[in-house]
Amino acid sequence: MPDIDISLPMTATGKRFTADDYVEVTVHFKCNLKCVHCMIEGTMDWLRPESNDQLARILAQNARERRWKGLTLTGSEVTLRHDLPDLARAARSHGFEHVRIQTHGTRLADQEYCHELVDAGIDEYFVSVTAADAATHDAITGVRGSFDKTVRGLENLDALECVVTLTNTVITERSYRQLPLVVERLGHLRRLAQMEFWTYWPMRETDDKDLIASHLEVLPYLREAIAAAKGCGRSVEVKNFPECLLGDDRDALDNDQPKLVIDPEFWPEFMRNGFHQCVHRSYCASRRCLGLNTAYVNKYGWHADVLVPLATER
Amino acid sequence: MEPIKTRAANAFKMSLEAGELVIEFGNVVGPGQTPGPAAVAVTDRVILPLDTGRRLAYSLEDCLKPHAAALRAEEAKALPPSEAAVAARSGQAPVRPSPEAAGERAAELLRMVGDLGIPYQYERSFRICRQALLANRFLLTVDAGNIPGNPGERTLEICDRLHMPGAAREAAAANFAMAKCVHFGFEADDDSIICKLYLERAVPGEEAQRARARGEPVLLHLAFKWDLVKDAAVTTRYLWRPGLSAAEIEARLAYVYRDGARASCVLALAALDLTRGRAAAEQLQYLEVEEAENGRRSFDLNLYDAKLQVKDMQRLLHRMREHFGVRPGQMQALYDQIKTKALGHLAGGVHRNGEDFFNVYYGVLGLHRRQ
Repeated sequence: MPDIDISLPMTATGKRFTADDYVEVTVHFKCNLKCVHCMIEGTMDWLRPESNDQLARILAQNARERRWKGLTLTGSEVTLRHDLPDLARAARSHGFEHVRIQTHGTRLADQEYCHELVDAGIDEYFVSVTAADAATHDAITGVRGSFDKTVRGLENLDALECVVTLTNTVITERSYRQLPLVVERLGHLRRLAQMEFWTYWPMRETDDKDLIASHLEVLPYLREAIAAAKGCGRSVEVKNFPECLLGDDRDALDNDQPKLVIDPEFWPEFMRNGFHQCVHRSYCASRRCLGLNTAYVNKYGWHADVLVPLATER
Repeated sequence: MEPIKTRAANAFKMSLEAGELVIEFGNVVGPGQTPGPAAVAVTDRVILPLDTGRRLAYSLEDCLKPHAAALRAEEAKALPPSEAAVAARSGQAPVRPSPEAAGERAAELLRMVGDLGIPYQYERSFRICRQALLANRFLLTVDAGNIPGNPGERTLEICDRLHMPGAAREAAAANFAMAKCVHFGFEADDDSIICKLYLERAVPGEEAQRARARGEPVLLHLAFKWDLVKDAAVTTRYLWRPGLSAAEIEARLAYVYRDGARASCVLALAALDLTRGRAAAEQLQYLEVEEAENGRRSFDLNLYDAKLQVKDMQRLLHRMREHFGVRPGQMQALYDQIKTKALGHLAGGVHRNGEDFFNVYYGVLGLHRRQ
């Protein structure tokens, strides 16, 4: 196990970051990978990124009100924006204590670029790692060599002071068996503070790409990954997985999201997922579970044979 | 004639003065810079007859039609996601699978019992049988004496809402006076939704002793069960054999399994064995179950006094899973959710469909009416 160098304290429930502290702004809708599980794949060409004026308004608001501690620049692949360092500098000058980017991380393989971003004030990097090995990752991203670059990027960041990294691994039929291996593969990173595992949602009512994995099949791999990541001293967040099924790992479920500033046309697409469906929905005591979604139910049914409603909220 | 001047405006005010429409155009001064109402510098004032105003309204509406989606989207920016989704594309509701009838029925039963406004107990269970695990089952228990108003009528009102068949209703009404406790049961799988009403007797001590002395059972529960999907109903009698020793329970289990299912008998005996050293066998409530309409022959052994948790029977559950050919992941997913719950009772034997089965009840919980 590495000597973890993460100064951020964890709460009693194992959290390092609070969604309410952050605002996410979608500033770019272009990407140079072709991840099969991309949730905005079909919308990237028509969703409109927030304008510089809109971003300026958010920065001004934060300068006045100190509403958020952190700004997350997101969309598709924000490192494709040439003015990314400028955006970060502007955010810092408007009172944001942290600037985070959501990225697939391939450009971070360039050490100089990492320095440029860090110098501009980007101190948190939320990096997508889709699998544990190059063959699987590259097959998912559709770009050969992307895994090596992403890992190199994380390693580059690991060498820099005042940097915190987070990873996200989307749970799909093509990745779930590798979840514990992802934790193992990234085990050497000292600045990796949090690992997130997001269960795939297809943004429609059917799983046209056959990517949704059965929760029951995913469960042992996911729990092993959670345990391994916690064992490395990292905090863990699981998204969109039934709370009841997580058993003793229920605390890892965190479906909270920062305020997301995005083209409103995104939301009708998002709502097609149809979350919060469950046979026990009306009497289960869980308040943070997203239940099942339409495509999941259409593919695997209601799982009434195993889901047990929570009688009391923890 | 003066040449037409083009002037931009981003604000207007409309009013009716002396039967004419007055529209003032202007620009907001210092937009968004300071809190409080914005000031507007008026640049033009136009007066229109009402009829012209009406035609203007129609024209404006036509002009804006192609931009309606963009305008809705802009307005939606201030809304939370769920409302923004509706606002941005009005008239388009998300497509969802059909509502799960079993879930709706279960919720209805829970709500109706909660609405009695009295304490109740909630106990879940699962059935394991050949290649199947069925976890959507529960019991709700109330003291008959606590039911407000006329307890029998209130109980049957709940059953009526769950479409209890007439014959079962008549029998339940005729026998309600025996009830010390009332249990409402629910179970559902892919093919059936079964609702149940159990009337539990308070067996006098003398009657129990007499039965013990004679080696005879006493009626403890009379249950009415009806299937909302298959339009079928049964009456089930739960017969208590008070004060049996461990050896006597073993003998009774052998009798229940007399026509086969030897492996299940071994599993039932293993469950009994778990209680050794934790509770005297005589304290465990051993029941046998029969239904006149079919060949059901089963037992129900109350294990609560042994103060076991579900995880204490993990190995036994593993053997059950193997015996019935249930997928490991399915069993594990259920087990992980309930392993720390108190182990309640174990039922098993030959079910009404002739199938070998076990039911495991766990984690009884005292609840009060939801506020």
